[in-house]
Amino acid sequence: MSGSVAAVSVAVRASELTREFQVPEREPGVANALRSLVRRRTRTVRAVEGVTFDIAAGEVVGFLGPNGAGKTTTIKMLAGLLHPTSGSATVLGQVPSRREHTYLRRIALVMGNRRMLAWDLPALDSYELRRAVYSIPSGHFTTTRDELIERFEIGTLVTKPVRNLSLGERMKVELVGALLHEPELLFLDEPTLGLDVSTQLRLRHFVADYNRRTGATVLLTSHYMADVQALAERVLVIAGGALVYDGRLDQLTEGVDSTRILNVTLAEAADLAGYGEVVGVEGTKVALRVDRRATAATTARLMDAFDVLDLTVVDPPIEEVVAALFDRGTG
Amino acid sequence: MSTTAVPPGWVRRHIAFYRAAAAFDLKSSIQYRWPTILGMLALLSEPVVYLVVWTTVADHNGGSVGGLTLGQVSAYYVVWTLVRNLTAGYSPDNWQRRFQDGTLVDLLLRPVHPVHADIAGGFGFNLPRAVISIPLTALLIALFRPDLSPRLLEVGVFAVSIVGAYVLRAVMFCIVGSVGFWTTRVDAAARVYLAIELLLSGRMIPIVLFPGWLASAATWLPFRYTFGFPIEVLTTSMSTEALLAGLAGQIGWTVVAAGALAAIWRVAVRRFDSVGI
Repeated sequence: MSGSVAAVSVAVRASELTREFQVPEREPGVANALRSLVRRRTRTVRAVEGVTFDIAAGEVVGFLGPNGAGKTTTIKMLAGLLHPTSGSATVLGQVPSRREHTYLRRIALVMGNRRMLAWDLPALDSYELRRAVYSIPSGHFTTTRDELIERFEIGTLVTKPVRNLSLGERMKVELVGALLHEPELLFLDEPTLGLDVSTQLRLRHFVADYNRRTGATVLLTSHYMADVQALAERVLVIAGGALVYDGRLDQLTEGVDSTRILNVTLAEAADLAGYGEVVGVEGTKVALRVDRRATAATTARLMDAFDVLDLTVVDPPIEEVVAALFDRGTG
Repeated sequence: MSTTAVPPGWVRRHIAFYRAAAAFDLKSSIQYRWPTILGMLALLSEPVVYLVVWTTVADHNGGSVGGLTLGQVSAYYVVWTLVRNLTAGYSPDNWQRRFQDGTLVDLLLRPVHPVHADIAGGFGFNLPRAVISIPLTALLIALFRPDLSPRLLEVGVFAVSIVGAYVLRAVMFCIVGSVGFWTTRVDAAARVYLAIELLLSGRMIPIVLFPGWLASAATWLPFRYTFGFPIEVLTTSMSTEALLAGLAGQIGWTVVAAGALAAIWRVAVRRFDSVGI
């Protein structure tokens, strides 16, 4: 659990949150299909196991994990869609699983792989319905809607049937729809899934801007590390249903990977295997993985032994670090 | 930050929601012209088939069926047309789609129970059908010359019973749809329910033509209040007491169904696994 949020208002508190599913199973074939009519075989799958964390009000937190790690299940429990098998959650001071209307008014869940707006109608019609669903006063609704449409530059999109929009366009109008009632807590589950780079960028700016303007808390899952790096200072990493890291993103590398990468450009090609693990060679450019504590010494030895034209020291790519963490959690 | 920290009262909120949801689903309904027109044409077929079959049977039986005259049989199915189209809502099959394509997630995240979306939306979606059923009924009256001369009181009770039948059906459909929280195959449960409704509601055969024991059972079950009762209000000479008792029965069953739905729903949402969506 992150200790830094203890002193400030807590928006999300998950305590030993666990969710199990009963999954039907059978072997292939007609005989097995017939047998399963009489005798069902199920297996208990623990999708989330004893997850505990706090999120402070106004915080943007990245939620990382490989496919099937339990990210979406956790988010669905926090949104009140799934009832925990054990453990508890408190979000904005309310218990999500009670699904009180006063709670549902204060949150929004946007899932990149799922549409909330009516397929056949222009988004403006769906927005109008959301006004009634969330009892937003007409004047305030119009101001908020127009402001969001302008900020996202979707004025020409909201009058077209949603089915005629591209994936990126659809995601933008979906996000605007989710924000019309100005949720205090925004659950974003893979919001940039399948989007091009420029739409991803715009979406990130938009979420950051919404968080800054309204002070809303954001819990974001994404397979794109760039999303998390751009938006969240803190990350939760879940693997195999268990939380394996909760802390600052910039400290993740240090805590997980004890190596650094030396990118060396030599005047003449040479074998640097004796100085560390060679992870890449491109002509006279060599990428060398060395122990973090030996970085200075290795650098000095290289400078002495070779005609070094350029040398930079970097942390391993964050994707590698996270992948190592995933492996550690699922191993 | 939230603009809805102090929302308006329950009644005002729900009236506003019903208006918006009905308008929204009406827009969905008329978005595609051809399916709308073809759907309306399909509507013509069922009452015309019943009318032709039953009037033919009556003709062969010397002008009556089970004590009903040709004019009464015609009246039953002419009013049937009106009732069928004015009480049409979303089929429980709709729930199957909701579970499979994930639209249920959006419904569950709303601070409004899905039954309200079904009642309001179903009304909006079927409004074109309800409107077209009025001239259609007039046409059938001209063609089949039913024995139909309701009193003003009966017309009033009929109007109320139509609303009651629509709401009762929508709530019952929602109960059937809740089966999806236990098994994803809502369509099987829906087929069973609709078959029972078809038989026991008076939709296919007037209840008065049932064997005694079945007619008695049908009178006590809720299905009659979704079809048979509103039709009987206009086509039979019911006493004022019988009309009011019928309305009370319809309201009673609606309250029971709503209570059952609330109880089932409390258990059902705890079971929701949202798998794959």
